Amino acid sequence: MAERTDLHTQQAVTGVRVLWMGDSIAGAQAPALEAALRANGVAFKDASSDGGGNIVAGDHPVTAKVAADTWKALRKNLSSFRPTVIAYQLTSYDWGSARQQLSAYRTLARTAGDAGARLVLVSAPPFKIDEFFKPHETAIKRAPAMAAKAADGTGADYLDAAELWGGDYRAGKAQRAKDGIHSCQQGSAAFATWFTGQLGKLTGFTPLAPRLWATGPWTGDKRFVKLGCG
Amino acid sequence: MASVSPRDRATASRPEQAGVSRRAHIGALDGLRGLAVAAVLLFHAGHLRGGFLGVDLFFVLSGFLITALLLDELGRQGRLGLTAFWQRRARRLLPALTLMVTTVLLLAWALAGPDMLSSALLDAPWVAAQSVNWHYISEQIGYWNACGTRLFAHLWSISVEWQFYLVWPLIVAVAGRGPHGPRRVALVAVAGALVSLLLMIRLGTAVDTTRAYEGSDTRAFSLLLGAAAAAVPVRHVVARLPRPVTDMICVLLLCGLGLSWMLTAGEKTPGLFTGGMFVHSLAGAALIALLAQGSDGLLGRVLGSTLPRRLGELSYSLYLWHWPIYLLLPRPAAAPGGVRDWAWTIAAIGLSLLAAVISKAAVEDPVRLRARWATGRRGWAALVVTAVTAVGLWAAIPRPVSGAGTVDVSRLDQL
Repeated sequence: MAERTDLHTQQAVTGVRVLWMGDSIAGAQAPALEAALRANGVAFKDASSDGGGNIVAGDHPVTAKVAADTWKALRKNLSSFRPTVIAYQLTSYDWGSARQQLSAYRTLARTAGDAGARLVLVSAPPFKIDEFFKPHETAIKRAPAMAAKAADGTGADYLDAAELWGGDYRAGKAQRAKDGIHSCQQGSAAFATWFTGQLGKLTGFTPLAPRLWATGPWTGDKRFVKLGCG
Repeated sequence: MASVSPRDRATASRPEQAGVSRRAHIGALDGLRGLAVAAVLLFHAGHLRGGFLGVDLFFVLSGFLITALLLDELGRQGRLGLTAFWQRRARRLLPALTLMVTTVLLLAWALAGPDMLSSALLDAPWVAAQSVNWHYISEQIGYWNACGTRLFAHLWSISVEWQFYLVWPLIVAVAGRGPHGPRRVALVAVAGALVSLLLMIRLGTAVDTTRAYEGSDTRAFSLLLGAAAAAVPVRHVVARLPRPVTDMICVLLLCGLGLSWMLTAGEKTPGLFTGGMFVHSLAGAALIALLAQGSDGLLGRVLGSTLPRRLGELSYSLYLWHWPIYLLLPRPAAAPGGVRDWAWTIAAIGLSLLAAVISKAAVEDPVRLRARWATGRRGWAALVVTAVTAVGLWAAIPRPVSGAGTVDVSRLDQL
């Protein structure tokens, strides 16, 4: 009962509103993150994409088109959702030169600042670099450094998720689904626990115990069915 | 993915125009269909990365055969019996589909995990409505990344064909009338194919190309190019070519198709959605038109030989059965292309062939050839019993609770 009271109290007081951005990897993390943040009294909107979600346009026609769509969607979300925190998990499509990546992350920080929101850049989990991603491996591996650099100069926050996932997608710590790219329920819950803790430190709330949200209906989300997670 | 019924064969081959035997004509096209289904089976087993283009060839064949049928009927009778056409299509295609879907639901209930079973139960009504391709597109169930959990993922192409069968005869009925009807049909088909190509180019730039790959509009060009090849003006051009030239072009076209199946490296192959698939369809349509006119040439005789022809005759049910069997048959964790991997492939294809043969002998042929139990009052009774059984089974299978027990909270507390 005490926990329930804590939950209600917290819902009333955090005032934090998180806009969650990223690709389909972030999308698979979103159901758990939503459950965790809502339980902790944080408003949440999932703006991750099922295909792309990148803000770095790069020189590839596909990523350029997707980036344009992502920026357009962001502008809409800023006015409709009015987030206090924009959390962008670096995507598997953040292809481009170092300058293009740095520029895109800095622009995002500026956009967030203009909207009165805090930008939190989160590195992506390790994922399988197949033949499709292989030509862009250098850019994918460089992106976290560029995000950290952008955060340094703009007042944004950079969270290195390697402390949660490690660096090898095949290792148990990375908790990848059968496709080697996305996470299943356990991995998503792990991320939600970790990220909620980080967000609590940044915005000043103490996260509730995971057992209060981690086994809820979100575990049946159709995204996990698609991934063959059970 | 429709196979060639005896009725289709009589009209599609047009022996009086080409001066060759009806049997040879059909044998070559059935053989081509056999090659296409073999490519798809190998692709889905992970051995032929461009084998998905076999589906494209199915579309072209269907467009060709159906249009030949429709134009022939229009030429002979001056009008199209649309209801009778749709009845024949239903009689040809639905029994095998119903048998496969109900059996697979039962197998999934017994053997599959909750994710696969719940997906199958979710998808089945869309399969029945012949619109599962749009279901996958609207739900963003990517063909290239989610089909490993969808027992009916391959049925998107059956839905595309059905949607074509519903719309195209109406167009032919209007455009095909009068002395220049077939020419108008050919023009409409070519114009439609070009619009479809533009749509594919536009939609194929997405990160997830499922919309471009499974859309009825974006894939229409394959069916329409086949339709154009069946229209009289095209056939007349083909008929003027000398036999040795025809033979050589046929061999080159088939080699080109085979090379594209071997060299295309999956969905991200540059140019695939920006003209590559269109060129493949165009080559397929040209080959089909040539084979239909002169299948007594070298290639026609090879394609019309027993093995490819028999495979082609089984292609519809083989296509229906192979994917669920691939998913339900446990696959060893073996190196791709290794001995154990090939052993699994042979077993999976063998089981698919067995299921296809049983389906054809027990259900498809009796219904198609109007066995006593499949006609008249008995036929209607069989239809009602089948429909009630299928719906009842779908409703009775308990829905699994997805995600239950997937999170170990104690592991989260350690973070």
